[in-house]
Amino acid sequence: MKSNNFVKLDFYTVKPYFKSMMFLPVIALIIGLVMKNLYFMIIMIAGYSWMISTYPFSIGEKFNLDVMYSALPGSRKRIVNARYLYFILLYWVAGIMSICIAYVVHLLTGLEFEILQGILIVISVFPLASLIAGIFYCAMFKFGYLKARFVNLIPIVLIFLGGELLSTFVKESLMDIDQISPAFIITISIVVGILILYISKIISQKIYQKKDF
Amino acid sequence: MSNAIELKNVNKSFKTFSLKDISFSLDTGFIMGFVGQNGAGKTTTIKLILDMLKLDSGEIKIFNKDHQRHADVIKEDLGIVMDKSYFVDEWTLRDVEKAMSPFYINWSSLKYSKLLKDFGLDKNKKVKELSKGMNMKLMIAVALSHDAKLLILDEPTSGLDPVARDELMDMLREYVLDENRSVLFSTHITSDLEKIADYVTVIQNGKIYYTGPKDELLEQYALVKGGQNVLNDSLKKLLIGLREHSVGFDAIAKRDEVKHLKNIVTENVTLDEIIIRIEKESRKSEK
Repeated sequence: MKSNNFVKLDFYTVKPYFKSMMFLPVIALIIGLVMKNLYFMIIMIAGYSWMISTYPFSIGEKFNLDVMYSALPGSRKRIVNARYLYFILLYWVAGIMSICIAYVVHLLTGLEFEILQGILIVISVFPLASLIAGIFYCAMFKFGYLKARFVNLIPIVLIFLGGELLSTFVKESLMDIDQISPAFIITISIVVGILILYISKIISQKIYQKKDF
Repeated sequence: MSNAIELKNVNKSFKTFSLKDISFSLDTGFIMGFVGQNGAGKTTTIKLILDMLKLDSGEIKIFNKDHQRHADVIKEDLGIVMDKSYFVDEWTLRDVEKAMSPFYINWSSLKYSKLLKDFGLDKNKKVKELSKGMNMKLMIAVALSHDAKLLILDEPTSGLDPVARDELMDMLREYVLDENRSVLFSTHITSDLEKIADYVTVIQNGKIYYTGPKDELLEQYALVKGGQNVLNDSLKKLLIGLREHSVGFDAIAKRDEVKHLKNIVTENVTLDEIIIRIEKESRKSEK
């Protein structure tokens, strides 16, 4: 229950900055249209969701919110739990949103897009997104946002450099492995993603527990 | 009588500064002033109480419970007022309530609205639009809206104008009318404490110099003045923070130790004077 409160708090922390984030899906859409690849747009939006998930770290550091967190009922473990829950929530909301956008664009422009493949892409990219989040959340809990912000840019660069390749690879892999059921891919992806986040969360909790503010 | 706060032999070391054997307690229902020069260790001690810093050794209890093990329960009844706002600048006061209220079982929206109205704060205003004094009132409103039993204030009056400072003193006085409520108030503006504090803890260079009733401290010391002709070595040993000038000297001293002396004048001392003199004495002994 208290972790949920911290998730809400992260949401409220970022809420005033939502307007400035609205351009991110628009950029993804434009790039997707230019490249005529709506699956690439989905991967870009997943990348943005990761970027937005780090906002509570940056805003927290800017306004010295550690004092507020220290004043609130709830252990440090719950604060860390909430950050990971917040990431998971953002990823899936962004995933669903990107599929909806892609479908509407597909209807309007006739660009190639299948909902099932879109869903499979969102799910199969989840372990990768979790790995990136898992590594950099630990760094941000350890060093703070400012010191860890350069590593934060790596996933964005990776997505720009390898996004199309990744989307093609994922799409083709999913086509090639007809013999493997989508249910299997979904299960494996979600289990691996959650497992990565769980291990990272344990490490982050240990780091944050010892941290002096 | 139960303790709102109790610190026993608390130690914390940094590269350039250490808190050494900090012990003091605050009884429920009272206001304690926590005073000392900038850098004496007030904020570090408060951060330790709030578990923002980890103890090297010692024990901290709040409401007679271990401050780490029972953090959840303790913080339900804890209100914090810092010298700077700790809310997101872009939040409106409505957002502050939305963000804070889920954490507290005792949160009362009615009370929050009433307090904001009483303090002249508009719910639609953003935190960044508030003056320093208004931000302090907001933090107090949040603390009172969940019926905090212990208020911890870290330098809340620094940078406030005299009117806002006086308002805060009135608020605190009113707050402790309920005997279950206590206040720990750290400041270097000691004139504020003279008005409201029941107890005083003086910290100097990371060590507790005095902890106890404020009146006892003020009775214990006296401001001593006299001519140069009476200032001999044996008198100098009794004086703290000695200041010599062309026609004489002034210093503070323990009242008992100088009361029998002739040709000197003793006057009541202020907290400010005590802090200044012990700091002066400490610097002299460091040299």
